[in-house]
Amino acid sequence: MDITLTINGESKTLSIHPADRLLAVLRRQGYFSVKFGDEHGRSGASIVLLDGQPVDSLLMLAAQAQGHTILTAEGLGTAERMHPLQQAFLETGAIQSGYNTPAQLLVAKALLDRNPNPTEAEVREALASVLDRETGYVKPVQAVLRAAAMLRGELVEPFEPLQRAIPIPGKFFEFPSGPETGWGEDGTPQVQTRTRPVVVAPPELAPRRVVGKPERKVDGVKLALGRAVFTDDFEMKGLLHAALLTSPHANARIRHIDASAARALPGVHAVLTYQDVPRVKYASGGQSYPNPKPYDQVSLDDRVRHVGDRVAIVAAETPEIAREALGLIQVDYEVLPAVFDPEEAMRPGAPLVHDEPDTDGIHDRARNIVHHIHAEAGDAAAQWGKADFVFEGEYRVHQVQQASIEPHVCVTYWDEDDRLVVRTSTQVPFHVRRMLAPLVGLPVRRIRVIKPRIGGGFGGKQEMLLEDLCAHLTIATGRPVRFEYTREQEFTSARSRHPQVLRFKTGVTRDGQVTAAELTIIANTGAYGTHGLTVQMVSGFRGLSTYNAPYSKFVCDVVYTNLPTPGAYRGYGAPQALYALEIHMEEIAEKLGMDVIEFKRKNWIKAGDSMVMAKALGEGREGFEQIIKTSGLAECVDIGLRAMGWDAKRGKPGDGPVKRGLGMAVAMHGSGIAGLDMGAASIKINDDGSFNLMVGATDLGTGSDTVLAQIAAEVLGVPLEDILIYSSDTDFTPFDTGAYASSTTYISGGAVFKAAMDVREQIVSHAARHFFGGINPDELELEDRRVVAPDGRAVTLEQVALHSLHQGDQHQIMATASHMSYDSPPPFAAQFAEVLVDTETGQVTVERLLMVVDCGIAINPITASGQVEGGMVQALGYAHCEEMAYDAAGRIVNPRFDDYRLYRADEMPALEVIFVETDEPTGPFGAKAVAEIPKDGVAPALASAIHDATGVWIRELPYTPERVWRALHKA
Amino acid sequence: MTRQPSGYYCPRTVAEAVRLISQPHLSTALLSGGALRLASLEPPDYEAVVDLQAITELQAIRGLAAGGLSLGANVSLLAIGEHPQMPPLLRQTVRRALPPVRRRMITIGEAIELAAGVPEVIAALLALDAVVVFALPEEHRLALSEVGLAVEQPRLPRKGLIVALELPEASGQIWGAAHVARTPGDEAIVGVMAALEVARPGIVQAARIALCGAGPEPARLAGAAGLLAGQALTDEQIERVAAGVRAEVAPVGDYRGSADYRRAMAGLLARRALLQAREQLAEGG
Repeated sequence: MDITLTINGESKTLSIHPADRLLAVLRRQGYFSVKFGDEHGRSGASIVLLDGQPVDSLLMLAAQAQGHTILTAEGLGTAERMHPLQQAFLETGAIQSGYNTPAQLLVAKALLDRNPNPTEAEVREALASVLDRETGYVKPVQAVLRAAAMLRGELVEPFEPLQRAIPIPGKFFEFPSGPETGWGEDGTPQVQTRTRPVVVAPPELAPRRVVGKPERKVDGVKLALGRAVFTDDFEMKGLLHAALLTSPHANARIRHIDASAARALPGVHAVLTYQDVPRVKYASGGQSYPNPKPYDQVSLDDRVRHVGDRVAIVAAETPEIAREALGLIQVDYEVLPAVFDPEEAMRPGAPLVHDEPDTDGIHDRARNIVHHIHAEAGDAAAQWGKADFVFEGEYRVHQVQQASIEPHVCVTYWDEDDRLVVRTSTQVPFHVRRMLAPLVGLPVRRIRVIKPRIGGGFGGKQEMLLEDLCAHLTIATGRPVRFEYTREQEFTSARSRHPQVLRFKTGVTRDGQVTAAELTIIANTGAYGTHGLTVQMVSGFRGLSTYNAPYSKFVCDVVYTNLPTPGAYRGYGAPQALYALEIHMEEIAEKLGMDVIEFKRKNWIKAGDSMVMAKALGEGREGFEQIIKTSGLAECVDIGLRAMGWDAKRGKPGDGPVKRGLGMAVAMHGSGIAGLDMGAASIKINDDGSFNLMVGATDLGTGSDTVLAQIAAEVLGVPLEDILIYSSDTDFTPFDTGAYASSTTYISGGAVFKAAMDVREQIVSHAARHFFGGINPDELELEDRRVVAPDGRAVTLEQVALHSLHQGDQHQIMATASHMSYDSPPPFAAQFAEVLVDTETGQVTVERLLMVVDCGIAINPITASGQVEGGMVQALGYAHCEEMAYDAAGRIVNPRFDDYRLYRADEMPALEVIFVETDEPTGPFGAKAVAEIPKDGVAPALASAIHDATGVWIRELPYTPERVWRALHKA
Repeated sequence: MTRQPSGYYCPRTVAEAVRLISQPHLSTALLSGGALRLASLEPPDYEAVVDLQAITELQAIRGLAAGGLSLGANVSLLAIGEHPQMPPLLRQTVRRALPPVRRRMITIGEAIELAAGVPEVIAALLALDAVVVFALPEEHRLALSEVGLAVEQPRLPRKGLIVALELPEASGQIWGAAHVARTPGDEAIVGVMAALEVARPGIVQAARIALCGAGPEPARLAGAAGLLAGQALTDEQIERVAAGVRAEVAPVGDYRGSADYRRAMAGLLARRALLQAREQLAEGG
């Protein structure tokens, strides 16, 4: 059938199928700003304006749009003439990955069209239709309010963080005491305070021109305009669509599989099962060479080990045909007993998850223990001997999903040189290339991996999940193939956070000095080992480093079960450990009758201290000695206490069934993996004095491309716009381990700094020789796009570039540098939470979260605060409402948004961020990491606040109403 | 070929829609809001879609001669949430439970037909004694409480067509609502909606208490509500009703709340809802 509609002002007549969704039709027409987030329309990523009103194009048939007018983000503005909303989103840092920015822009436009002067609550209500996994909604709300002011013709000030200097005058921290009103009785959304990040900086810092400034994201314009920049925003002639058949059983052997009917379906080009691909063992975690063993996976197997495990893969002309073909594959399963609890899995006689003979490196196959970790440091007898008290506690944490709004997606094709191109939404393009090669039987040199913009990763894309299957299909068909997980597969067949049982045992002297600590963990790694070893080593390291007991011991069993496999998730083992640790420490303080802040302050690690477990617990191998060089933790805690009104509010739960509580937790993370992570960067000058910066580093939407460009711009004395960054393409950018372990600013930034310094040296040398009569190059400075001599003479970088390229002593000014560090300086933070606990229902309402962070120098305080805000909200979900729930057969029962609850814009607590800067000597321009530490403190701070409100410790996550209710009733 | 609906019809009148749906050899599905009907990409089990959006007579909100409101089946939950004459219990419920775009894309007809997506809204409608007006199988009216409320499957015969929902006059009514949820905007684990008719000062003439999350489907509790008839809303009476609610519900546990928890919450939230209603009594509501 034909329909006629107007899209972005252009009338179009389109031939459609009656069953076509509007989303599919719009994307076929090239309106790629309209995104897919989930099949049920809960993400809001597919929202467009229909006759000016927001509708979800996934939940509409295209036929319903007949005669209507549609606006997508492509029609909102142009690069030359952006809509004020697009401008405001750019200015406030409201765009991280940008995947759902178009939907946010459109719901905001509809709001402002009917209400030019909305309240913050009205903005939040409008934005509630679009799930945002990245920003914590703080900056999108600010952007909409700012755009509204711009549209009303009001003057708006530059959006900058509030700058403060140490020492801190008290008046700087007169923060609002929390939300002005709670959830309205009439159902109106919560009204929140407006917050801006605060930067508290050492006064002696040298002035800088680009570093430390709230520069706009270098990729922001194209994201604001909704341009086709993501993996799936890609058209290719002959593209086939893949669909994955997954196991309905938690443990089964495939006795027989018959794909003949599926292969016979018109439009199907390939159906691959274990009979069709080589059996090459591998581990799917995107990690440095050599990947930790065991290699317990193959692309397709005759054994399935969890519901959602791979069974067969189809390539067909359309997604609908591919899905239909899945239903035609006949599989005869021999269903085997399954085990889901790691403690049960270790018992004699438990079902074996891996009994195949060709997997090496399983620690104790008969007990399903894939890894056993034992590490200790210090003098056990002496330190336990000093302890007057020994305290023990057990804590349990659960499985949650990264839930990036862009699912895993990739496209594979042969290029004109018969090389396999993999365009994929990955955090680790170089690891993918190396790991993929043996699976598909190609040498590394015949594979090119490209990471376009990526719609969120959070560790979930530090894994090779789709690329091998997609590549097998391209090899089988010769055709380009697109493969995207469904939202349900994101839950069943992607990765998640490891559930753990953690037991702390701590020795303490009478005056509150920690002398010895033991941490024992039983970790559930699901059906495959992948990140099982390294996540748990990080748990041990982080759990034993904040208070750095002179004797520390870590024992861990990493156990196979028949659950979907956990893997890397932002925080990587630290959130679990710090949850248990911080509750345990507060419980000890309580039992000792000490003030919890003073007890922690007495024991936390300080500048100059050596981390006891650093050598014993690297990541997957022995580590390196780590001495703390900078710590702003004491200042973070002090500032946070004042900002929260701690003394006035703590310990005052109030009357009635709803109690108020205040909680605090300390957090400490790392900056890359010491002695392992490596990043490289290349910089070259262009004719006009601008620079190309090529990095292997992977920007997930975090703003790392911007931060890296800022580092280069600062060194080279140019504005940010003169740095043209290109990243994450294995053919054209130098190597980088990828975006994980909070490494990009510190490690990749170190490489950029070195490369820029090298280029700087070449520039001043050339200029000294050819423009300044042989002056000592060390006397020259780069500033404002010029080389400047002490006497005021100057030449432009353009003059130097043109001369060096065309006129004299000709050469390309360029440099490549690599950076690896044996240091991994910890960022520190104090996390605060204020909650209401309904003691009759168990419902916890979080009113306020404040994180005070020492991340060294914040290279870009706006993108850095965005990391903290978004991270806190993910951490809040972990603590409060997110959980992967299973039935008795191991089937996840909530594999869709809303059932798996992500916070919406209109139910958020107030979020606040304060940076306490330290000048880390090993980091580029004093920087440490910031991406993961926001995940570490919210859960224990909530536990602390609930305890403050009720007097009850709840040692298991998440704090859902029934869990809290039962704990209160048990008490 | 793939199993996709091959027909799309967009009737302009109810009569035309009735004719389309009545075709004996055509399996059809009604489409109005879309957020519930189209919330899956799985191959559907119908051959054609009958899109009701162009039928203007289904889009009106009008007053009934006997008092109360008639809502055309195509009225969206968004419009209900913003309509000043809508009973506040319903207005509040739709705004609390759903973000605006979902409210826009769920119509009241769709909500009744596919109740699984909006249990709180259904509970509110049950408390308000809503009546469903059908054009098929034959033109008739049926109290919502008498319409099958199975949550996991379509609640109406395939050939059914809802044309309106009637809300009786609510002036003089007091009401209360309470729920427990994981987060402030989450779907209620258990929700209780109460609407009470007050005849003479302080005495309840009739009460309707509806719950979601305390049974396999949203339901009205006749027994517990009956305890209020002719009674004053004293603390003791409210406690008796709360106990009655606990006894009457038959909860089904899931990952958000066990059956025991849901039963306990049903009683507690009934008490809260009635206390909220009593406050209106004190205010002269």
